[in-house]
Amino acid sequence: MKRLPAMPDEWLDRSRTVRFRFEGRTFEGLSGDSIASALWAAGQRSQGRSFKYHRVRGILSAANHDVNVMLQDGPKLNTRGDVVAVREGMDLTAVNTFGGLANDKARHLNKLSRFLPVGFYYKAFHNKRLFPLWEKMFRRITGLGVVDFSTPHIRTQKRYDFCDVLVIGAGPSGLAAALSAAEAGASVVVCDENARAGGSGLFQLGADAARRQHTASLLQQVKSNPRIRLLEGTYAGAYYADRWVPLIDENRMTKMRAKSVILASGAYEQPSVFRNNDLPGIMNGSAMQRLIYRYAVKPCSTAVVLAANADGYRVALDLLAAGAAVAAVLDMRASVPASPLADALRAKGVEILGGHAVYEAHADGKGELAGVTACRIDGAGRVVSGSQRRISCDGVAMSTGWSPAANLLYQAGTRMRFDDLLQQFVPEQLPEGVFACGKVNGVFRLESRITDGQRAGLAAAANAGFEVSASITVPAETESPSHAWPVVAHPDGKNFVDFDEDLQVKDFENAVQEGYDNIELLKRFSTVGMGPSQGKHSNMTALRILARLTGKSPQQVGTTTARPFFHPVPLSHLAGRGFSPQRHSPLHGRHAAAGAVFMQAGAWERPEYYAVPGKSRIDCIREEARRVRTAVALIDVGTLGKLEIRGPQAAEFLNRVYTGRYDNMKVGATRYAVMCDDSGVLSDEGVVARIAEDVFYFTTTSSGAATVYRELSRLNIEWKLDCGLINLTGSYSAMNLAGPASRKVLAQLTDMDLSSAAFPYLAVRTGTVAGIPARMMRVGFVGEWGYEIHIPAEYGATLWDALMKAGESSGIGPFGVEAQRLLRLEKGHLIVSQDTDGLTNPFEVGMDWAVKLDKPFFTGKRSLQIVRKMPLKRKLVGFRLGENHSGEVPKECHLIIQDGDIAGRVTSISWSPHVGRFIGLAFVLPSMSESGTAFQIRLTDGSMVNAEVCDTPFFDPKDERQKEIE
Amino acid sequence: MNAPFAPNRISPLFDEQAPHAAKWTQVETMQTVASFGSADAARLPLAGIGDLSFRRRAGVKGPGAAAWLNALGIVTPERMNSWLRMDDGTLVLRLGNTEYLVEDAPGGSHAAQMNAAAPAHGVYPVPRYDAALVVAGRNALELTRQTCAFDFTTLSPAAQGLAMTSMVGVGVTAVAMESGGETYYRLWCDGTYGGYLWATLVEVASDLGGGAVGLESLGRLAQQ
Amino acid sequence: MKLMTCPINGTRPISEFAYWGEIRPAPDADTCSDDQWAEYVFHRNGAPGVKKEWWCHTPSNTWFIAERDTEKDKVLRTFLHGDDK
Repeated sequence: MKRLPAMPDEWLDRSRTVRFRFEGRTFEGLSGDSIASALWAAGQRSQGRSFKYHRVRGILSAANHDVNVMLQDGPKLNTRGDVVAVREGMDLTAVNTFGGLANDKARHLNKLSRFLPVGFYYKAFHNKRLFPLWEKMFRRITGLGVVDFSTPHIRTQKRYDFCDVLVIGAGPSGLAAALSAAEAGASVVVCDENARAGGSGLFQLGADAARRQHTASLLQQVKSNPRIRLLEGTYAGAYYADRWVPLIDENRMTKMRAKSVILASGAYEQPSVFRNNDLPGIMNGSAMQRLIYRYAVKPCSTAVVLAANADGYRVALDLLAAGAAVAAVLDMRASVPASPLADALRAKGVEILGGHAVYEAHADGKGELAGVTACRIDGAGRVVSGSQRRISCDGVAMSTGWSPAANLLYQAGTRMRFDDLLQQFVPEQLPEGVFACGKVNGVFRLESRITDGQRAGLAAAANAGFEVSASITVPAETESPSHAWPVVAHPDGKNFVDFDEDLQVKDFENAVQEGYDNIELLKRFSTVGMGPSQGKHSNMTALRILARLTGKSPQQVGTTTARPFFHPVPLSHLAGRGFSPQRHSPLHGRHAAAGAVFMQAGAWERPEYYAVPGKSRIDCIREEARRVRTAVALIDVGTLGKLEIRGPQAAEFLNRVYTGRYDNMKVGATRYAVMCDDSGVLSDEGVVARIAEDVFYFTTTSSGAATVYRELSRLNIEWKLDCGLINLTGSYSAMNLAGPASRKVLAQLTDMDLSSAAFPYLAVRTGTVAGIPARMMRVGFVGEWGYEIHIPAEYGATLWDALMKAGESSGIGPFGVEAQRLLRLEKGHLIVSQDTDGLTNPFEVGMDWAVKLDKPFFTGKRSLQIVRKMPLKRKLVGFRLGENHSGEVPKECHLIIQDGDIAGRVTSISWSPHVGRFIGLAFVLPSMSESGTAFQIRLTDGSMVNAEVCDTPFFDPKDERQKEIE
Repeated sequence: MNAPFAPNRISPLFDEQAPHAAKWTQVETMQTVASFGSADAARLPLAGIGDLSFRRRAGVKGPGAAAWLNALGIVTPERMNSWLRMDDGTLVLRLGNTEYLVEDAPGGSHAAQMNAAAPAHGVYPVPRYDAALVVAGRNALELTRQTCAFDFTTLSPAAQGLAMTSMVGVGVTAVAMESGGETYYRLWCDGTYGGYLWATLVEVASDLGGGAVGLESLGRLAQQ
Repeated sequence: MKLMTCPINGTRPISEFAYWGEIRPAPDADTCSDDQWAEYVFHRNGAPGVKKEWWCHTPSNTWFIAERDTEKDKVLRTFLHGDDK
């Protein structure tokens, strides 16, 4: 057992033990342990197998900067063992093993590594015949984790949030920044990915209690400040435009909008590179400190510390205080700088060797660390041969350098520069509203980090509009925290750079040799940085190697693109609660009660047809249509766009936006209206009704309503005509009472004169129906005598009920969208965007009559003048299939083929009970548009169907039924 | 011949609420849910969604709208995107620059007045069919956080500001009001989206310990 | 998500807006050639730089003009039509 006595900031609740299983064995940890720390405390150092070579792995970063310890937790896959808290009853297995961690059958791949160099899969497996075999193998051995397909669908509630200053990272500089900003008056949110805030300020101690006190005191102040919200266990997933940051915690995603964002995210410790640097027992120095101070776990009995900065010396002191022995400090710098830390170590009898490194590490029978071979290195980092010396140890702390956790700075568009002293990229040009402090800003001394945080906090508050007067300067760093070349060559390799992807130094040499000598190419060929930790522990080292191999500076080599998300985000968080707006007509309940089968028409739900028990869908539709032609029926057309334009120049406005003329309409008349865009393409259509001299009421297609209203509003701002536009789409209900008995039914509910003299075809009249103020139009869409009645929406259902009651004796019933489509087709009426497309002009669809080119101006006029001079490319015509057509029926968009070439396509087609044939509309070549022309339609399977062009309307060709009835 | 009955006003939320309603009442000739059940009263302090669609409303816009309203004795707010309450309890919302929504207090008649008056030059009447919701309770702000990217803390009852924004994908007009020291929100949206907005907010509210609240349990919120 | 400021309704996320396109002067329809007209209708300037564009705040149907630097992805200012000083 390696548990230490209580630490001041430990995450443990020692009163609660947690029992869990790992690889089939039961273990005991403490509440607050991570899985990895609990296992380590119990002496279980082998905690995973690597991706490619299946080498045994232990803790490396203890910070979710690597996936050495990736576990399957029941249905939860890819659990990061080094940060996920251990839970009672957990049953864990390491991912990526065949037959368990201890006896992983794939471990023999390690011996075959010579045949699996970088990018080997690009060069092997090209045999087409064998590829299915390889594919099966790949799928088996390259996955991580197992998906449980019975996992329930989970959604969490996303939420928005707002603050003046968002601080990302609650280490010393982040805490200081938060306090400064709050003191200036800003509302502050501080988030930290760790379960507890404090960051490295609470574990990079060098056994110095006073050092810890700085951060502990800042944390206390932050927690008690009413303007600061501290969110622990919450990470910033990405940076999106204008300071929008998703904050991810265990339960949900919060989309935070801040006026200023401060990155205080610290730095990733980069593992040193030497042969067998991946043996369990070898870890980052900061990982050992996390084990000691967060989890009260002794990392090892005897350690060798590989250092190149003051951090390493503090690690050595922390190890001694935890009761471990430090066999030696190997300092990769040529000369060890004088420091109280070095003095303290020497005073405790620790040997410090400058200009030394680890040549290779050695494993015991279990494959875990048993000792190292140290060596001297020269000024250029080359091994001095003959200087090797064996040291027994069961722990190596690697402390040779850092990489800034600058992902979100990059995403925000920060320009970074490589600082030679610090051997790190630091921000050079930050975007507006974005600030950085602490290690990510290249500041490493503890006192300086706190000052840097204060500086950033004040700057952020000022940017958010608060008064700040102080001016703070941060002293420059004097010591480099990172070694320029923490790499020790070895002829037998296995000196790992990227632990996720099992990439060793020679893989980079091979990649460059093959020509992948650019950072973007190197990344994709070698896959460095493409593993689950996305290069957190490897990208800087890879960059150094590439720089040296190509003779470039790190600044010249550059970095690859950091992309969202910072850590993997559960799909449940991303899914959230789905919001799909649904639009219902005021008559919706009536439709449902009448057995409507609904269909989605944009955001609207409309009755497709009304189900009758025992009747098929197609029979219901035909029956509804039949009722319209023989009796009377009612359809809800409330989804139509309904607009009103009022004012002295209302007619002029309509003249400009439609192709027709409206200033010469009589009050009480309606007129069909066609709208074109600038290029002369049909964009919308409807009916214009003149209610009064200066009041026009007009309709648009259902799908066009919002865009037409919006665009007409814009045009009126440009033209400044004396008129105003009102959108009544949602505030008016509309229904169409159609059929030979429609007049009889309507007459029961109104005093208005419904005679054809007083209320002729295509007229509009206002009056009351069932006591409700109404506008009524006699329109011709379905080809029967009928009335389109428009009323205020709050009376919609009332009118519907009244009409249904009044029509009972006439056999009234509702009819839906499909029946209406059939009825209008029988009349040859087109539907915009069904029978027209994004290139259709009015001339192609026989609407020359609607285009008044003699008007001084209308949208599309100039283009139509050009188009009219050009020969037509196609024409919309009516067609019908053979009289006794049997077999498959063409569908909309089936092509018309003539002489082996495309000659057009079907746009609408349906069986017409009233015509007794299949009828439709189609685009054909102008040469084929004569009535009677035979042509062929090609079905999906390639077979041809015979059809012939015919005149429209198919039914009641003289429109007699809608003009006068007996 | 005349219709044999006076027309009923039907709420835009009727279809969506009917399956859940326990008790109905008639207000301003519109059927309104008096109670959804015994849980209504307990929901309101946490996250209650109430329905004031029954109030009478009329809208108008245009360069002459303000003067026209004033001539009818209706006071108009001085600032764009703000609201005021007249002495008789009428609520007047100034939507943007030149559009107004007038909502009658119980028994009021300004809306009828507006509908009867002839519009003048530059005055464009805007017929309205609003779903009008109340969002109240100590989790009301959190409810807006889960449904809207607009920061509702920027609306204060004292400043009487107004926001036209998008909530769960639907255009809404929002104001903050005060009752008993607590802030609550009133929302108006196009009635054809009303059922969807109501059902969605009720679902979010129930996650927060609340839900739909009938008229009987709204108390003072139904009066102002 | 990018922010946009409506001159009447204030700063909102871009999801509350609809983009119409760049404001471009149209040639005189009565005097220009067919080619000039076609160029106006079908061609757009794709070069990065500062553009004046029509935008609409959809919840309030407020149309306004935004001056936007498409190279730097920055909205320089927004104003109502006619307020351009």
